[in-house]
Amino acid sequence: MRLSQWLRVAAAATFFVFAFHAELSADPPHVYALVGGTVHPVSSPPILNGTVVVRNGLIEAVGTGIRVPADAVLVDTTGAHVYPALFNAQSAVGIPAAPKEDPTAGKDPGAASLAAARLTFAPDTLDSWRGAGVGTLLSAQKAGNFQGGSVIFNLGEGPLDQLVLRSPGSVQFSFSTRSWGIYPDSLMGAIHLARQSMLDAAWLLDARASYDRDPRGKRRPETNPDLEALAGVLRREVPLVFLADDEVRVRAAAEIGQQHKVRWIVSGAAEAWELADFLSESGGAVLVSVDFPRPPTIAPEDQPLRAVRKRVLAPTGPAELAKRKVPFALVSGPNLGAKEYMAGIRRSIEEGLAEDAALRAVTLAPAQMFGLERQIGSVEAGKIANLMVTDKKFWEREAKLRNLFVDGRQMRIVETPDPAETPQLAEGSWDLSVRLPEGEVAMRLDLTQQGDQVSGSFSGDRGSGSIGEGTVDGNRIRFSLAAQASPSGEMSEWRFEGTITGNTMEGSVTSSLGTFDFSGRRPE
Amino acid sequence: MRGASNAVAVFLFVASAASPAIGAEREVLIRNATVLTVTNGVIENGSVLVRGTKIAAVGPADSVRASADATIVDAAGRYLMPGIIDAHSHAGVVGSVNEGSLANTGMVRIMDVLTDEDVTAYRQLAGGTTAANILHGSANAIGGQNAIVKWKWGRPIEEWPIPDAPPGIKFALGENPKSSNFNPGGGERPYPNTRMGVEEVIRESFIRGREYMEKWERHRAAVKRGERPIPPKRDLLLEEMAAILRGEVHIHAHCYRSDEILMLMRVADEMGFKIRTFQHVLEGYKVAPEMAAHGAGGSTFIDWWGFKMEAYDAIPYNVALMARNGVLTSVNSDSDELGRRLNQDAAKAMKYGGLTEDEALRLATINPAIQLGLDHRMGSIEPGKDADLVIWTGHPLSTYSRVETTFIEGDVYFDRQRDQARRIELAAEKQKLLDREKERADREKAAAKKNEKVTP
Repeated sequence: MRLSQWLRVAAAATFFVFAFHAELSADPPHVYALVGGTVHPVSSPPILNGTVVVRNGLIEAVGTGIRVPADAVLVDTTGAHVYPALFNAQSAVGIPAAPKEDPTAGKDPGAASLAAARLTFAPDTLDSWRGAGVGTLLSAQKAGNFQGGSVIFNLGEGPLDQLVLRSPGSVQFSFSTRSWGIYPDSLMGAIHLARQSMLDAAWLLDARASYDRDPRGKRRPETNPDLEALAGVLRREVPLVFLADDEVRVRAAAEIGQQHKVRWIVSGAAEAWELADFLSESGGAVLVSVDFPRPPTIAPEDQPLRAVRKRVLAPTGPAELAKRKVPFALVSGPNLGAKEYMAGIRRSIEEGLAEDAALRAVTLAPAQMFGLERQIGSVEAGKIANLMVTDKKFWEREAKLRNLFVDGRQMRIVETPDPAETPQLAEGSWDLSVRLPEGEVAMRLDLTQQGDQVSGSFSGDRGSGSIGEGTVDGNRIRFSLAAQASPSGEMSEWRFEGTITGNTMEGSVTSSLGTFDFSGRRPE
Repeated sequence: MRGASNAVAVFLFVASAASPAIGAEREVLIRNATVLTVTNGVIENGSVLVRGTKIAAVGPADSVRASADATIVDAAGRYLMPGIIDAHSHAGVVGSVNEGSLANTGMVRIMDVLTDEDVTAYRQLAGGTTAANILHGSANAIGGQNAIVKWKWGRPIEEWPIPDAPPGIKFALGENPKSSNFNPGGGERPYPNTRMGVEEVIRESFIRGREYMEKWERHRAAVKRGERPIPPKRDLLLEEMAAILRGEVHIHAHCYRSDEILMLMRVADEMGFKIRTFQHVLEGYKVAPEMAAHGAGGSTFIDWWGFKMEAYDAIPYNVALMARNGVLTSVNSDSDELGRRLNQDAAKAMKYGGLTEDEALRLATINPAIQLGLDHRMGSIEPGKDADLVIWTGHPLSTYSRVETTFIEGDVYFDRQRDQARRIELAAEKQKLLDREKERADREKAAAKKNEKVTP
């Protein structure tokens, strides 16, 4: 074939691709050339005075001395930094709070339930994440033990099914407990639930295979969508993410993950760094929530050294994991907003994490954990064009986001006021409803606020008493009280953490029986 | 005494054992002590030689020789006894000690939820207790699987379980498993609600266990014949029932009343298993000969009484009456607090029932060791056994005596002098951490303020 013939075929092929694409999306090809900045590909050393060409949603070329295509929109990145857009691999963005009448409220949605089916976004939710340079999110439901399949999606525009990178992105498991009398009501019961469920799922997979080979003379295996949803985990197609903060949970996750040779990840993982050697030997990966523990309201003399150690040293955890070569990513967890996420990344660096390790932990590392390293996580030709451009290093406090590309489209950057920094008033009366597994529990609060200190009293279904040493920081409120953990009467400390928006308050409360959602408003 | 113990309670949470040096064949010679061997009488002015993790020699001080580089511990005027073994503890469990949702939760494992971070472990050492049987609670007829550990405070949790300890499980009879005194979940009381129901839960569990075993036997036979059937589903609960039926698991049964004690032995005989120990067993004195005939031990409180209806017939002579009627008897704590002064409960059995000094010491040492199937390594000071040793300021059966040093497998895990010194170090560490936290918060505030000015 002569060259001219080649060109003709190539032109025809290009035309076909364009025509096909145009028919699907009726879109121009969106060609951009980011020229002049420091490109941080992550997968290779930084490129000074680099160029990145974006076409049709993908990265076409990366390097120095690349000719800018004639049809490209020129984006001058001189003096700026070009990174892959961030991948926050554990969030609850778009996951609606379980409504009252939802039959699964507070219950186990089961492994088969998909987060993708439930996502809904308030109009400006994604703007705040885009504003932090996040291009990809993993969102997961947060109720029950087997919490269902997560969804990993790009923060582009358009219907969700065009944004999804993978669904399910993972199957999520929490070692949470129910109130007394409802299985599992203990941590050891929750560990057994995971252990037995994995055995059951593995059995079902084998039984089905055996039956399909030759059904004659065999009893037909059961149909069970929840167990079948674990098949992808057992086949190593999808990782199993264990929400596991403390050592006991991390060890349980490791045992179950290793037994079934699945891809397992521990998430939250405030104490994982203390088990770094154990984790690197057992082949686990870690999603470290940068929702680092805050000082409690109790006086320092009443805080055991062990608790102080864990709290103060938690932000050194990422550095420790990096040192011991444990694969890890930095995530927001279900409760942090975008700016708090960025502050947590910054804090990890200030507490010893190397800059390049931090960048990897929010880009390529999570992409690898979720099997997306061929699509996102680095600036390489052929990958999805999720890019962010910042005027300073992205994690620096004064850094400003200049451009964000998601799926090769330049996103409008909307300055959203950080709700976390908007001071809210806690003063006054509140009617709270706590969603316990056995039903809603009502509580009336009467709060007095002096500066950022909150005190007052409460009364309701689980007793009454005083509230001491609460705090308000921006829109965040924290306080604790002593009330009955269950109707049978044993007392527990209830620690509330939530956010106030005008006349409403919502968040989570932790008692001796677990962590539950609550919401409240000012009485009319 | 009381003031002192409060001070300990307040301050010990900041203390931890210095990491012991682990040398394969190091020697430690504890000399000139009054050695309470428990199984071979008392040696005045005696010495114990530790080599590696084991006791190498025991005898009069002048007869025990150590190598030149042995560590010498002079215990003149002190008493040396084997580490106390607590046959019933719940210390160190993360989360609830009960999986209280089902009548039979024999599949859950205490070992899954043990932490090396609960300071209770260190406090046990300060009371001379070196090992414990960590049990599931008594909320259901068949509870979870136990863990038998040494309190190796400062070492990672995987080093705590005693490797050759026979597995055990908790059973419970009476008011707790029939939910007499509480109402879980606030809803309807779950089955069982009577002692009859508790009995039936246990019997039915073993019928199901037997069926499960048969199912697997049929499957293996089919495979042997060359067939390729779908294997039965593994069920971790029924696997445990099967292990009990094969005699591989020690049953430690929480109980109070004599009628339920007899009931469980009848069910055991019917189904073909044995009860290793009855726990609490406050009416054991009424049925001691029957317990002895079954081969069941008794592990009890010395003088806890009347805390619920089924505890009204308790008498402090229970220990002596069981022991003198052929029941292998121990005292246990069931309490983080009592677990560190079981020596005093053992001593009370001399007052109530007239046990000898030796018999009293056995209640907290060799007897629980036998009950747990670990007397080949613990419970007395004999060559070949683990060097779990405690130096006391006086006779351990005196309430005025206290622990000076506690060894586990030859390593020091508690030492009163070292503890005092560590308190200062640990207080300083805590202050440093709190200062670091405060400085950070101040820096953060200042930076946020500065940033506000830059970008109004």
